[in-house]
Amino acid sequence: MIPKKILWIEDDALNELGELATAVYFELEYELDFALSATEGVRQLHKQTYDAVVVDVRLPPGDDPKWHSLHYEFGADDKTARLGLTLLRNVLGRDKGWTAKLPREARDPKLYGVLSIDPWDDIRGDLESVGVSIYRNKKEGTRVLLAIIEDILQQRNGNGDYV
Amino acid sequence: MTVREQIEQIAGLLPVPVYLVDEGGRFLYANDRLRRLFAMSQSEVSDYNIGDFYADRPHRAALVDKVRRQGELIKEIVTFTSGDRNIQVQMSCNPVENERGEFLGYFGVLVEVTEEAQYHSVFDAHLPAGVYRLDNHDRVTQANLGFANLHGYASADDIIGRPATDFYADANEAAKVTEEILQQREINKRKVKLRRKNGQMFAAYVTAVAFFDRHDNYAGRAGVIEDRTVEEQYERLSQDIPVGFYIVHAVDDKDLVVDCNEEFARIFDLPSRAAMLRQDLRDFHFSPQETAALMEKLKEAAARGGTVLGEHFRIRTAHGAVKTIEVNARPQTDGEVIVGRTGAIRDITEEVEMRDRITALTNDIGAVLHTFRHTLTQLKHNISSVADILAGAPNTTVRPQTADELEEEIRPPLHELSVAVDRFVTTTANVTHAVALEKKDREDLLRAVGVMNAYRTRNKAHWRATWIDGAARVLAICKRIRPNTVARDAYRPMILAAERIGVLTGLATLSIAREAIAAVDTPLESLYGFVIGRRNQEAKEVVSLESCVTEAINSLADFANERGVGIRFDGESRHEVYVRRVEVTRAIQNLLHNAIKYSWARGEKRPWVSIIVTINERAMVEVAVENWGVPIPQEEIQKGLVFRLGFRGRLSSDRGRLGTGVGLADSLSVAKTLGGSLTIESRPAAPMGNPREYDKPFITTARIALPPARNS
Repeated sequence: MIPKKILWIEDDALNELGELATAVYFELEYELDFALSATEGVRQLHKQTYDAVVVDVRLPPGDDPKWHSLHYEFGADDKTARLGLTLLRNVLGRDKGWTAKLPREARDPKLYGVLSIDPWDDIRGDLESVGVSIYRNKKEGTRVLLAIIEDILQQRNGNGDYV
Repeated sequence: MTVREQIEQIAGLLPVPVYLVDEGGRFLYANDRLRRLFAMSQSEVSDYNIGDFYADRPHRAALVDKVRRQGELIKEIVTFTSGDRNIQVQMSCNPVENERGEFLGYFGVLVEVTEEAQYHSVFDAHLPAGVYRLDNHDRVTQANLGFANLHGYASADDIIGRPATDFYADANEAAKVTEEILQQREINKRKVKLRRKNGQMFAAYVTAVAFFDRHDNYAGRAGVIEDRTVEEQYERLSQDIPVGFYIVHAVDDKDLVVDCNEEFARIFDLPSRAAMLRQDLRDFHFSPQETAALMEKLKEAAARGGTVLGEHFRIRTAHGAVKTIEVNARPQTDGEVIVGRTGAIRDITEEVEMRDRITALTNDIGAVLHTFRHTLTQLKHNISSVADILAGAPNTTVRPQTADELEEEIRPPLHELSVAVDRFVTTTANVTHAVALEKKDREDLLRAVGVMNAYRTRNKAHWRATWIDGAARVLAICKRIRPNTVARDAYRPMILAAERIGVLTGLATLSIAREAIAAVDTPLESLYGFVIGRRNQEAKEVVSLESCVTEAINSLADFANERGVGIRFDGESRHEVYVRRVEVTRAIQNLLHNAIKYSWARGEKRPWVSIIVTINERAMVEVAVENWGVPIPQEEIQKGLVFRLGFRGRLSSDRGRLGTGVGLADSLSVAKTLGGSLTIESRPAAPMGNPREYDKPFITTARIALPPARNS
């Protein structure tokens, strides 16, 4: 069986939240990639086609000056800048900005899920405006990453898109 | 007898200075009184010229011209100079002809009016007030220059005969003033609004006395007006600012308000200044005890000729509300008796309430922080106990700490587990033993070991979690092996290896937890000191800075050990400072804690922090704490952001470092209070290509400088 490619865009993926990855490993069905910033996230999406992309809301900018200026514009605070939402808007919204050259596959809203500490009600409007409906809260437990990956895959499968 | 002889005969008898001068002014004759006035002897008379005595020489030419035109001069005021004295005279003068009808000279009579002239000069030109007299129809009959100028006229002549109403802003007010004068026969410093020639209004005081004839009919009045424009501006200002001004007279144990502004009345919840006047302030005092205390303070101030400043005092207002006011007052005394006071008060009720709330809040925060620290200490001890149990020995140094160390120790049991699982699965695949374990469980066993062995393909950060999870899965499956279906030796090695992996990864997890506690313990202590310390300040003493550094190192030894960071300090020398020991130790502890927290390894070597105590170029004693590791962006240093309370650096939270953003703010506050300074420097350890390249180590040096003991 070919493992499915998963991208987790999360700055804390190699620290406290690292343990969330364990449950995914034991399934033996997934190949997990990490992106620790908005810059890295977009870079990975250019490089590779994924079966599911899990995005955090509070992302640091990374080394791309464009993300940097945006981060500063929003107060240089991951919490208020919410670069994860900006990333989704850029990839999925009308205004493509600097993600214009992304492959077509990466522009499917069903490919994405948001795993965040921000409550659903706070970000619902932003997510719905770009067609993303899958959300889970990080506080749900150690299997939450696996759960959101399965949610995304099931959604794509249910619509006959999943291969 | 010639005309000249007649003149000399008459002039000799007159009790006033008299003279005869020719056309050019040379004296032809001067009587005895004139010679005395100008200090001339009789023989010298013809040597002098009257023009030499004029204080203003051109004045004579003007007068000669006038006498030619008018044929005479009557009571002209002239100033002469004689010796070093100015003499004012009234001069009357006629041209005189001799018996043949020829011009003989000018005959003049002088009346000395020096004192009167001085009086008039002051009265007319220099008195900073308007002096006037009105007739029975209130028309101006006399006025000085001051009166004219106040109303915008060039001379008093311009206003003689004008009705008084011309000078009032409001004709009704003029009538009212007259009415008051008729009733009271005088008014004293009545506030009025007057009008200048150009229509501009100004505020003034009017003082006047009325005259009555022998039938008691009003015959007019005389008085003074004083400009109070500036005073009125002050008054208006005093109404606008939120400070109550007042004057109190102390009479028979009463403090009667004789003057105040609107704000003063507002503070006492009275509708207006008028309502406040003549009130006894003591009726508003909160308690007799507080009144007595205030009176005592006023007495002390009076005795030293000073004022009572910033005294907090409670009042009960006209609405019954209790307010706290700040009293500033200067006692007025008559001998040793206090006869009143002038002062200013401010309503500080909200300020005091806010201060009380902050104190209460500070206490609460202090209590919460204390509980946090207590809980953390307990947690740390519990972790140590669990570590001892896991390791099977007391006082175990919790190891392994790093992913590399853990990999090293876990490799043998992991290999044993793989071999044991393989053997067990092979054995139970046999039909005889197949009942020992479900097929799915057998597959899961293989999968768990597979994942555990695939760690090299993953990030080191995930190894520990994968191993501990894998070991737990293996042990859970082992519990499901049906008893008496397979020899115990077939699965026992599997359990032992999984347990060993569990212990090792468990110890590593505990190590991480202890490190996290140590990381947050010092910031919490610092925050506690910052919040509570301000109110419980210890006394300053002469201490060796090295002893403070040593104390800081000792308190952070555990944390440094958990982090694997060495501390290099040569405490042999002794630099004395005059400081509060606990504060300075805490300030150094904050710097050291940051240095340990943000240290990276230097190549293959274990990371270390170095501390040096020296005398710097400004002759201050300086502790420099230096480490290699996480950079601080220049912008954060230049803008002083790093010293802001609660500030968390842009790069400070990488690798999950915890912090409160209090440490540097606290250290800076301590250094400043003690007259010292705190500086931070962050520079690349190696040349960099791109300034944004923050993944290479930086050298960060924090320097706290304090004045040496001898200067303090």
